[in-house]
Amino acid sequence: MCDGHDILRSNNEDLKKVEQLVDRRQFLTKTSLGLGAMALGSLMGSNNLFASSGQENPVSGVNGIPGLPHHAPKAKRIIYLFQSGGPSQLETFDYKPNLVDLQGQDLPASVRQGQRLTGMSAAQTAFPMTSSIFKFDQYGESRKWVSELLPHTAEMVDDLCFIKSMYTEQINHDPAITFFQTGHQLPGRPSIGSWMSYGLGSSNENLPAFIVLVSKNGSGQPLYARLWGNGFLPTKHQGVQFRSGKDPVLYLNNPENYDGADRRQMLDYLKRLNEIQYDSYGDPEINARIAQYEMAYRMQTSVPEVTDMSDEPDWVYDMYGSDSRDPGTYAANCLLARKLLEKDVKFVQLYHQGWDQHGNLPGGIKHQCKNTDQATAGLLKDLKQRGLLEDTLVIWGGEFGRTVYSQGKLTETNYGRDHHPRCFTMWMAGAGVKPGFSYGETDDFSYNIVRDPVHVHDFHATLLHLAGVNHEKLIYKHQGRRYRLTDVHGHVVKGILA
Amino acid sequence: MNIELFLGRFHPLIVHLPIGFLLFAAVLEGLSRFYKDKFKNLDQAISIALLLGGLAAIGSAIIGYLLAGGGGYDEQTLFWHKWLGISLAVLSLLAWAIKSELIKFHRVSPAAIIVFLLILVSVTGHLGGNLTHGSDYLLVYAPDPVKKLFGKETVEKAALPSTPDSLLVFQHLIKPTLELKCYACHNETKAKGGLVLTNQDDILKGGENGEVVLASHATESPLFQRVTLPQSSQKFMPPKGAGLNYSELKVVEWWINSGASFDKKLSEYDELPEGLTALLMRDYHLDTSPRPIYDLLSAPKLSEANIQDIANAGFNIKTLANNHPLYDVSSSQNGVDAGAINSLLEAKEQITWLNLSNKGVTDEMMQTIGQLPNLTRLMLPNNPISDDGLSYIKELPHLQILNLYGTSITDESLKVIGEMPTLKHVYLWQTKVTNDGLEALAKNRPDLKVQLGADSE
Repeated sequence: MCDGHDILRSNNEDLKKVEQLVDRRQFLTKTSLGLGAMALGSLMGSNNLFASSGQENPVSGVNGIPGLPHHAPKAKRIIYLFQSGGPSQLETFDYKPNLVDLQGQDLPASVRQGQRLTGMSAAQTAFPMTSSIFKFDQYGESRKWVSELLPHTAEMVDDLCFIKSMYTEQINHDPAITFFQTGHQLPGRPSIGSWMSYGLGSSNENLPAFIVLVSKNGSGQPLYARLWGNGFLPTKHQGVQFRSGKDPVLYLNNPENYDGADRRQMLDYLKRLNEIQYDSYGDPEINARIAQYEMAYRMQTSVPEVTDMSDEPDWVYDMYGSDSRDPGTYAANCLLARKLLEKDVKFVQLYHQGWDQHGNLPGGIKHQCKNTDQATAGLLKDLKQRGLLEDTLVIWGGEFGRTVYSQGKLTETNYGRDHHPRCFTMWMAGAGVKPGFSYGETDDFSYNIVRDPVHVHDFHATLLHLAGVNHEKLIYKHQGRRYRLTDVHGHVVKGILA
Repeated sequence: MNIELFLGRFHPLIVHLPIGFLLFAAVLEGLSRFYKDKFKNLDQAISIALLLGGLAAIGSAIIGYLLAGGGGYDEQTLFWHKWLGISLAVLSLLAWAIKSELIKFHRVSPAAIIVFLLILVSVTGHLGGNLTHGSDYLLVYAPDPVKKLFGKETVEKAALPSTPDSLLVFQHLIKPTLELKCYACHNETKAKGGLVLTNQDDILKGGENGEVVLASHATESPLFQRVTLPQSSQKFMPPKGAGLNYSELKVVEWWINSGASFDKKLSEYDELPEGLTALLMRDYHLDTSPRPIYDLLSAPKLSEANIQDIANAGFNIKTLANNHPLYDVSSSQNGVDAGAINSLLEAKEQITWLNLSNKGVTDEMMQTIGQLPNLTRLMLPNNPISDDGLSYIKELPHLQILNLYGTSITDESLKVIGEMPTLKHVYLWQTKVTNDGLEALAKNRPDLKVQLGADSE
């Protein structure tokens, strides 16, 4: 470096750091490698200047960021049973007996209020309303209405807190599900679990704080890794997807003739190499890589332990349903999730596809319910008897609801329902929410909300609140702009808090 | 019909005439004095302005007198306003006479009189404004430095406390409403109907028709009646502007019905009506739901060294929340030994949640756990704990949740559990308790939630 330049150097610590990272000569050396290197140079420069790096220990990060939790958490763990495709509220929990009398009648304009429909049913000449073909009954001490499709869930209603008045702005799957998982309809923002991992850290340093389980052989609307992506948060906060199969994580065993000490030694050298790289480039992704190698090393012992189902007695499988013996099914994932929660994994996200019944709804939804009902209820029971429901929040729901009118031809035994963002039902159970409780109300058509609407942002705000986080204070600055999971929206739904 | 008051009410309108004329006279006087060359012949105009100002002042004074007859004004302010107004009228005519040289006064220049008139107009006008709008009117929204300049209290409305513990019902919920909706007419300066609502004594004293707040009888209290009348009614209060909103009405109603106390805290009320708690939550952001026990306990600050020791003994130790005095502790190892458990005593008063599931906790270790007085949540499932072990924790004064599933406790322990008054939730799945023991416990402690497992149901 030319000595004369030192006079010009600033005393600002941040600037000094950047200058150390890229002095002119280094910059030229790097950029001379080509445009790719130049892009890297600018990337790391901007990251160091503008991102809030240095807010946390780049490698461990077990404790989240300082200042959190903002208040004592009701929920130390969250499990989100995401029912992808948009389960019909009309066939599950939102009982509308009056619709029987209106069967086949056209949806009144006063109810539709000029709402834009999807391209799939907008061209229909008629919008014949249809009631649920499935019977409803009241269950539990709380006398909550549940359809006959969900007999096991019905047994648990006294533990459930229904939100009948969820609504979203998105009418199609991709933006709606992205909105639900990240708080924004366009891809690129961090998912709920990533925010939690970033803010609150991990309670078990041997397992990732955010684990994703997707039911195998899913069909229907696709799922994609960005739903559990970290967005602009440090990479190590992205959800770790376990494979839906016999081995949730591959290559955990050391190769033959290669023992743990060898592996450790190799990783230590690799870490040193990576650190040298970090010192010269300052790219935070290198730190993420180091953290991931370390996590993988610890998972070599922790994952086989947690995924070993051999000590689960038969009656446990019976409780979750026979599918639970088949790794990768929703039921098996529920059982695995319980074991992860027992190990204090902070956020477990399950996905189950196939709730998108545009046509042939009676058959489709019956199938869906059969595949999920018992396992969902089994998970609740299991968490309850182990005392985990005390500080674990369970969430069930999809990305939107379905229309009261039939998409396609309405016959006596068959109909379909289109996407409906204006109202749908979700439930929560466990830590911090009122058990045997129902919040919000829809009109007689389950078309509009008449009381206590809950927006997706409100749902996120409430989730963070239960986890001990003030949603207005968990902020990350990225590209010069401050971001929150709820962005500039969201109110905690205090009415459901126990 | 009341012709006097009818005319009187034109006073606030008419008073602007003398003000305008006299100000205009002052402007002209100033011009002719400072720009002599340009404005030479203004004297006549000035005297006309003074004459008109004087006449208008007399008119204003007369109808002002009629208005004052209606009453409800602060005596002292009214006295000064009246006499200053009258002297203003006289003085303007005097100035006119001098200016138009009807009388000669060599010692006093007309300009000096006009300056004096200006001051008089301002003072009288300000007093009049205070009479009509109340003495706070002008500076209520002034920036703090301006308020300070005029000796006003800058922090009049304390911020609403966020917890019911420190919230005074009258001070924080009722008074702001009165201030906003009632003070303008019912203050010490302007007591309409003889009613002053700015302080406890005057509220209790009531107005000229008697008491307005009858404790415990909201619907019979004139104060509540007047704000709940149909808005079209002449007696509806406040006569101008928006009435009280639903929450404000409900809070006032509840305040009167619950005894109209002036110094009670929100937390001192036994039970709030359910509708009210929802309104307090929505409109006042007041969470009146009972606070969890761990947020009420306190403990001295735990030193970094102690935290480090406990972490080194194989525990995850975290505060419940930022700046929270209490800690959540769980084992990060596959098992604990007596030495590790003993290290917990370094945070004796600070540990409130302890999770030792499946860590080989023995009866002896329970003796140590029994010495952690602020435990509220204790998770001990799948440990070789027997009745002996449980007996060590029976004195824990704040324990609410006790998880014992998968331990070897028997009905003997159920008796101990039954005698732990703070306990709310106990997990007994896969233990050696019998149905008889459970029945006895249920009889003894019907409030206690006992969680058995799916297979034992």
